[in-house]
Amino acid sequence: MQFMMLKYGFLGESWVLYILLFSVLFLESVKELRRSFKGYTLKIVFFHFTLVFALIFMCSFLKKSNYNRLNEVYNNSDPYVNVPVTSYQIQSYDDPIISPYNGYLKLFVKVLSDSSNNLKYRLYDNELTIHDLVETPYSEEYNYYGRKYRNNPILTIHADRMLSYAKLKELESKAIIRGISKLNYVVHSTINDQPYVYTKYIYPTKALYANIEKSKPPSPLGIFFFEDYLKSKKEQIVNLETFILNEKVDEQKVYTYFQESVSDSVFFKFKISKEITLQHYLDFMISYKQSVYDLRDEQKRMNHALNEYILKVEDKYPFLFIEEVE
Amino acid sequence: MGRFYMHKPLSIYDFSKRRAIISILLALGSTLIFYFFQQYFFSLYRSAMLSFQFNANYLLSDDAISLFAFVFAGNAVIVGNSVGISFYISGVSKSVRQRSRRRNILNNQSFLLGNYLYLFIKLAL
Repeated sequence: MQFMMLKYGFLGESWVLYILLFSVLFLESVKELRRSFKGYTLKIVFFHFTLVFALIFMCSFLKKSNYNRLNEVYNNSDPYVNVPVTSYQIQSYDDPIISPYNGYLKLFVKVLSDSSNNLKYRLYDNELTIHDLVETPYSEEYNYYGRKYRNNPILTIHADRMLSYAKLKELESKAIIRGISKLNYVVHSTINDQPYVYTKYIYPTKALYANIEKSKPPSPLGIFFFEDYLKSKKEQIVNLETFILNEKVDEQKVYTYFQESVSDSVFFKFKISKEITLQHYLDFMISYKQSVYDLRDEQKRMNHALNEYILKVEDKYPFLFIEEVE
Repeated sequence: MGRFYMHKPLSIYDFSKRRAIISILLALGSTLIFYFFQQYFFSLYRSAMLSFQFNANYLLSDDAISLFAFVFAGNAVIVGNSVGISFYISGVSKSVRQRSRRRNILNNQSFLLGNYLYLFIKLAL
């Protein structure tokens, strides 16, 4: 009951409820005294009542400052991360299927920033460097029709909402070299008040490889970059800073912008500056996705009306974008 | 509709002063002990429950802390009051005539304690 009250926030009204409850309990305990005890007059009942309530208020001021001590100890050993907050429901019906076997190894990672603005990575209560996090071969072996496979983990990232997204890009660029193609950013949905997952697929792009090629030998020729696929299409540069209004992403503006400009012959280049936080980025991306999903739904309805079953809505309104850190 | 008693009611002169002082001390002591017991038990229980969650927020808001302190203090004071009254009334009875009156008061106290604590624990957990 108390957890429920905390969650739905009606602490303010319940004071009255508890005062009524305690006065009823007090009267219950003195009713027989009043009947069988000779000196227990109404005056003394009233005095007893005020004494009891004074004691209650005195006791409730006791030990208040020290109350959270145990919880602070827990919070230091396993810090709480303020994940981004969204009001959209994230759909995932067009997720590509990577493997027929669905048992991925899910790693829960916390990303925090310390006082000097460096990133800290925590994996199951252990603090790690980014090198340890990415290079350690966490993987899971499984059988599929008599063959043995080994799959890469999925990183489920709890990142602080005020982190600069440009810094998190380092993790993505290392993960793609490692073979991880799917990242889950945890967001808190305000619709059903639950932690939710924003799935991001990372493809090998030249921008991601650029940082690593300095220290490593050049990538083999067979690698397929996402830019090669986009060569025949028109580039449209979108600067994320233009959509920010009062330190928040103007979601309606993003929605209408993409309603007008999404098509199969255009790909977007998202320019991400250092001021863009994770909250801004996810707000932008979710409203972009929502806009495209709505276009697809409309097209589906039209196709159904015109008996057109060959044209796929995913081909007409695709998600084609490249991210670039300035 | 009052209950009919054959015997005269209890009065303060039937009990010794020493008994009154001991019962007040007992009430205060059991109040404090039960209050701290509830606070520690609550914070332990809460941390144990939250340790099953990933990324749980352990810190409570000030509003919630003061409300819980109030609720626990109320429980503790009601229980302490009841314990004090029970101790004051009970004991070796010198007069057999007034026993039924004592028994009624004690019955009430034990009914209150058992049922209220049962209800509270059932609602809280």
